[in-house]
Amino acid sequence: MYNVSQGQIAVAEEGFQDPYQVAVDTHLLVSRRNDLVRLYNPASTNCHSSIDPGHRKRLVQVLNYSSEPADSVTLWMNTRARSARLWRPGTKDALTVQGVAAAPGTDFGLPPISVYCALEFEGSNL
Amino acid sequence: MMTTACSRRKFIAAMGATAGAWLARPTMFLARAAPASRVAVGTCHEYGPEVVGALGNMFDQLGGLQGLVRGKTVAIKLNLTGVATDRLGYTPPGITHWVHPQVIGATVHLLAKAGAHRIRLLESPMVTTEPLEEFMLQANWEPRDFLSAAPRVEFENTNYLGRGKEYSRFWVPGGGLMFKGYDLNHSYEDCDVFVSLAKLKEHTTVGITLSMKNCFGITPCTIYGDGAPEDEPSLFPRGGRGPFHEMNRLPAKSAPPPVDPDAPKDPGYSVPRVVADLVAARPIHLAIIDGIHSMSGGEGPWSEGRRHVQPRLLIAGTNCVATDAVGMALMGFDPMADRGTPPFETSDSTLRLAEQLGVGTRDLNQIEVLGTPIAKARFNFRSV
Repeated sequence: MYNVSQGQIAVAEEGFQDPYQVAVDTHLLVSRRNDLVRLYNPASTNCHSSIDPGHRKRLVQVLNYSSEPADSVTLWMNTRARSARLWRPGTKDALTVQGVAAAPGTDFGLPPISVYCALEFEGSNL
Repeated sequence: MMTTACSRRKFIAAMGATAGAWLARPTMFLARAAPASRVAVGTCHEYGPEVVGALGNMFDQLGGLQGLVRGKTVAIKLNLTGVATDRLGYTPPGITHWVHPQVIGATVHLLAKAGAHRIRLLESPMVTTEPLEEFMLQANWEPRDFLSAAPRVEFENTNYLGRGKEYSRFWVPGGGLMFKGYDLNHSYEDCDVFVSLAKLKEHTTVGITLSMKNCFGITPCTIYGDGAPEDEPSLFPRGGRGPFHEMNRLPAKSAPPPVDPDAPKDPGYSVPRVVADLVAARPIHLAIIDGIHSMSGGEGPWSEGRRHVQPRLLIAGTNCVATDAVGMALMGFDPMADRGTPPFETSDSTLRLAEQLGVGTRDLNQIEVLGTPIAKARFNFRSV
């Protein structure tokens, strides 16, 4: 680790062998304190968070890689939000999901995820 | 507890030698001679500021912590089983299967108030060498809360060598039930006072998991894990503690060997014996059990028949066998029960084995229960 200005640079002593381990190590170097989203009981799901340039809308997409639905998945977001709109394939209207405060952010308990869902957040503090 | 002329290593070795001579006596005498103890029981409805008051009262009932911790380094083994992303349904782990952060913070605060010089929070997170703080963050805990609870608080992941230069060896007094000794992270030697901070739970393999079973997790998976090398410890922990369950492979040869290589390959036989060995080799000075909220049906969200429960209980004592005996009674079980009787349907009793090693008594007639009486506080885990 080298201190440079207000940050640090990590230099590997050996060549990278395992891309997954590189991702894990990088995540730890940055610290989980800076996570934007986390999944609990993720099973075979993973997620991707994106935000509009004005920081007024955020979309978190959750993809299930298994043929089995993922149950009791909680999505944690690092900011406060009362509710989110949940979009699922095959449904015309969004489902409103209520948030539960989980400092410093919010927990959203998701219904069973068969293949894909997306949570849409709107607000001034995203 | 120690003189300045005696190192911790020598002190522990001396304790082992003394206890070894003691163990040469007949078993029946040992069972009767196990030290009697006092255990405090408190009721607490929620994980709020009231936890500090409840625990403080209990420590006072035990005679205060000053004599135990003043000027000392205190190591606390937390109970953070499984991975940080596991939840029972949508419920955070501190409510169901981990000791709650409020109880940890309250304990740290009260230890410091009693004069503890340094407080070290220890756990062996599953299959990782990541800092304990990062493991906590993944569960959405804030490690800074613990740092602010006392002046000198440290964290260490003890599932590998960690910050030590070598593993510390703990010999089991009397030769051990499963292994003659255990190699552990240095943190378990580099402390004056050892605290087990556990959760009040049932356990699929060994019936219950309280202050003693919490210490199963002090063993590093670099030596005792499914993927440990044959000769030397690995750099990183690989797999869980399957070998202690199935006895299907030996720990790395650098560690002390098993007492009986042909011991039954039955988790209900081996796991209670490993736990009894560990609490005899690495004595617990203060046992604290969080039963304000918990779960029934097993030790984690992966257990069958699991359910969130709210016993509203806190338990503390200076003897781990006596403390667990009171815990068992509060859960609706008979602490004198053994294999074939609930909660030990498929395992031997860890309490009986630890009692036979001279660690303490499980006989409620020899334990002074302070605070809320058992009959008034009992929460039957099998009737919820």
